[in-house]
Amino acid sequence: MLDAIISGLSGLGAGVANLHWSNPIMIAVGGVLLYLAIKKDVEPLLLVPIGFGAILVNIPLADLMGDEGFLRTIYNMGVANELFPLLIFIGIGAMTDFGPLLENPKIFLLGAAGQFGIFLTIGLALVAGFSKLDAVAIGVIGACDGPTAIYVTSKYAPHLLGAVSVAAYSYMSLVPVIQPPIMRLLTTEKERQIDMSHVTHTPASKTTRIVFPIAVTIFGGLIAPKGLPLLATIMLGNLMKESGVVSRLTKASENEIANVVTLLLGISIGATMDGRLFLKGQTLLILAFGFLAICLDTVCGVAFGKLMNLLSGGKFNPLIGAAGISAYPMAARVVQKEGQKYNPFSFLLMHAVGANTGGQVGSVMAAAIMLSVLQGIGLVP
Amino acid sequence: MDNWTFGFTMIVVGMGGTIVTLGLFALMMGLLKKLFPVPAEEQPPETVPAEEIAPEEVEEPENTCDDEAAPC
Repeated sequence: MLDAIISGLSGLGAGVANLHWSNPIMIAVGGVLLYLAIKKDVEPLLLVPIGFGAILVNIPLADLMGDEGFLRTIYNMGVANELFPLLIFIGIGAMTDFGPLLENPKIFLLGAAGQFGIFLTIGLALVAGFSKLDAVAIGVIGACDGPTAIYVTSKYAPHLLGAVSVAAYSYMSLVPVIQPPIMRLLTTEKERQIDMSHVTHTPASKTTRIVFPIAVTIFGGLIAPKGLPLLATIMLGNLMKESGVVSRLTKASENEIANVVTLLLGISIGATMDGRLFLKGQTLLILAFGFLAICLDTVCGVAFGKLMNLLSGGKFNPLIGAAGISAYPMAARVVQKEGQKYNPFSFLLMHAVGANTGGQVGSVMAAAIMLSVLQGIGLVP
Repeated sequence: MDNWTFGFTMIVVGMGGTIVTLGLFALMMGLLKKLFPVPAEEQPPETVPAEEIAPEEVEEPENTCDDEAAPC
């Protein structure tokens, strides 16, 4: 009888007895993520489930990421097969207004320049000794786009998923802190003062807005077929919004579907943050390279903005180049705020929103091109 | 393929491919705008510039001064 009671009691303490040194640290990391989300309002929709998932997976013997654990089931259901990021993309497409971009198509080029950091970071990660596919997953943090980063990483470097996702979402929320010093460093005060409120363009007709997602899907898919799932889902969401005939589906995509998938995606990502796998020097390097990628995106975007300034005879405000990344609408707001600091009458927001939506398509297209290049050189099937 | 070749290929083809593709998208959008211009009913109502208003159409503001002796 006494033996049975002692055995029963030992079962109660088994969790504590099996605690690995890394588990309490990761539980604390999960707590920090929850604190940032709840107290500081940093990407709460993602950081709450990620932080909680990180705590859950670091409680020993619960086996939540074991073969039959509920976190493993969710992970296999939508992360391992890349379904969740794609469903989120439908919602993003349904929420995005490409109107400002369609008004001034030239600004699309800023959305391309804002992705250069991805490719430069891949080169740097290779120099640092990462394998080719790991370097690709690290570089894609520079897309400044959570679902794209998760899609590419879960496909080619699933062991880095936790670090890459946390880096992507953390730096996205830090865009208002990361970008302004770089913008100020690369532009003169005179350039920052350029007022573009008088510059207007012809608006796009409803037909153009409807044909745009279809045409981009077809042309983009033909150029980079490997990335078609990314491009097609964002454009499907946008087509539903612009057509105006499936408002129920549009609303479901941007609300119910996006909300449910965000919860499941977040908790699955948190579940990849097992201390034994996460707490490595490599994770710190990934975080550093992710930061570098976003800095390089901003540098290239502003540099391209300066080129447009030169070509326009000094009429284009190069700060707008910084909005060519995918962090929407944060990057556009940063540009507007910085512009108004130096010229209170300057109104750059609509131009910046155009560049920012260009950055959204640009990040998806850059990832699609990257995947097609990988296939072209025979690195992936 | 060694890391240097791979990295160089990714930088050149990746950056070049992205900018060329988005440049093509920009051209395509310009073409779409020309093919499907905004129809008259979708255009915002035109406003008449102030300088185009004939002088006789401009109403004299009423004198609201109560005290006629004091300058307004």
